[in-house]
Amino acid sequence: MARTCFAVGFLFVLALPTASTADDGRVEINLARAHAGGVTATDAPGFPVTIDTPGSYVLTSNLNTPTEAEDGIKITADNVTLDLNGFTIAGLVTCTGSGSGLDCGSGFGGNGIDSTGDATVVMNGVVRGFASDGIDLDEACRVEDVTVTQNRSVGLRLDDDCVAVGVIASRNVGSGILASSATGATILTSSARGNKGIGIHMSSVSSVEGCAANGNGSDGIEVGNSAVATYNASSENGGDGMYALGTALLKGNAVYGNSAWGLNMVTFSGYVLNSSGSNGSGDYLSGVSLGANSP
Amino acid sequence: MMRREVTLVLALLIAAQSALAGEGVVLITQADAVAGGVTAGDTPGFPVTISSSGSYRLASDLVVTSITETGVSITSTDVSLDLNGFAILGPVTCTGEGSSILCVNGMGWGIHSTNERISVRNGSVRGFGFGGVVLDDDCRVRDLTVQENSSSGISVGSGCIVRNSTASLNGVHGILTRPVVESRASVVSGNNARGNGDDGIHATTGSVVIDNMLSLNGDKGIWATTGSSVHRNSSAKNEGDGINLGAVTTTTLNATGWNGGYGISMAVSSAAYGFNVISVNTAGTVSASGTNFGNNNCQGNTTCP
Repeated sequence: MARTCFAVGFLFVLALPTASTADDGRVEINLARAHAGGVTATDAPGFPVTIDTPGSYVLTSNLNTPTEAEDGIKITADNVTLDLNGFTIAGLVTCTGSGSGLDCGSGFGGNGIDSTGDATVVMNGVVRGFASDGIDLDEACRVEDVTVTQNRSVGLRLDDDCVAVGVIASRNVGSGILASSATGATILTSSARGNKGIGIHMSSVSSVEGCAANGNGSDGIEVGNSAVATYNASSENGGDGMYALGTALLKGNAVYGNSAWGLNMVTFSGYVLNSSGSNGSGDYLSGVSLGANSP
Repeated sequence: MMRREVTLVLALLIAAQSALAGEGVVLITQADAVAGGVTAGDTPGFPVTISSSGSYRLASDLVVTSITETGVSITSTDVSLDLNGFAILGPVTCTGEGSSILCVNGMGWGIHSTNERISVRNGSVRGFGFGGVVLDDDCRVRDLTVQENSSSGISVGSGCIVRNSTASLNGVHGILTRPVVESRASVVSGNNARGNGDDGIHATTGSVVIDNMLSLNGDKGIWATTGSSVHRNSSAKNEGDGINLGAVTTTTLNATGWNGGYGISMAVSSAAYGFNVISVNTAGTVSASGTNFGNNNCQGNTTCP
């Protein structure tokens, strides 16, 4: 009998929801394990799920946080890859309207994913409905094929040297994608639509290419010194189609139907091969034309 | 006695681990489709109905034999469907290509949703009457091959991203952003649209069309409306224009040739072009109305019309 009890105890210890490993070696995270804790050493039961160890992690269910105060996932280690695996990390915030008419309620709380580690990778899923940012990452991060929507602050907040590809940022109260305090960030083939703030807001030494910004409450795309913004479409935003500080290069962009300027360039930004029309304040303000633009 | 107790313990262990595993990625096979119950409300047979947010993955081809049925109907927001290299196959077949394409009529979609934030990737969809993949706003399509559907191959709403996919031999458009009047701000990048009955890519207001290959389509290679940005595409041997632009558009670094209409056609002066290579096209290299940024090569002549 004693031997049987020992066997029962031993096997149930094996069944405890400590970090479960998928066949490919990645650590699985799901709602049951979020509630149980122990995903990594310092992960307490409930939210946030804390990832304190470098490695590769994969969601195996949606994660739904029970209150607005909590983060969904907190990453404290460098070099963490988090594959959302097609799942959604959802908070409780819901929104009505879009652009300047967006209403997501009031109060600030947790982020969907919050990383203080460098070189975080997040891919392949949805983060929505958080009372602060959808995703807030630190330096040298990478985000691919992620949708951030209906968050009460910024949709996707990036730091220095981050790369975002194929991101959909819609109907967030702050900017859709924000890297205004970062240098060296790159945004490629992404969409920012209906955010209350700026669609895509970059700082100096950054690049925005092949992105569409539409119907945001403020500017469609904003860049800083030595930034390059190429081949984008920015339309029907509440501010400027594109706003550039300092010495940015704006090339091959279409800016249409924005409430303020098509391209608003403070001081010495250069612009070429752009097409601008039907903007409330006019097509081009300041800047240095490097060649042909329309009109 | 001991063996029975150990068996009991193992059963409890399996049950405990199963409960802790959470929802997991839901696998869908042909047998599941026939049996029903993939999600609540999914009745036996087609369509497979996905009514709950989550991640779904095919584990076999899905073969739909009736021309009236849809393959997968997604009735929830926030759904990811990974075709996992498999195909969703309907009964429709098409013969010919371009304006001569002839498809059997049908009344189903390969994958259909009217809900936001649907992601579909990594497989093939072929042979449906109402269209191959039809999704709503903020959707994502990646790494798909969509062929021989009676209507458009890939049809998406506002704010969607369509990347690295092939849409060929569909009865209407290869890739369509819709509704045509209301849709906004989609990104269409790195795709191949060939031999479709109408336009290769039909993009609406404020879209980005970049790094695509268009050929042998029944009308325009690319049709991009107001406020769109069109760059680095190759558009050749289409029956209409290689690239057709609406107002306040810019197009650079494209190669167009051997199209039935113009290489680049612009109806208004606020459509502008530069740094393009435009070869022989039946109607001419460039229509007269657009703004020439310069540095185009029109049949070897840098002075385009």
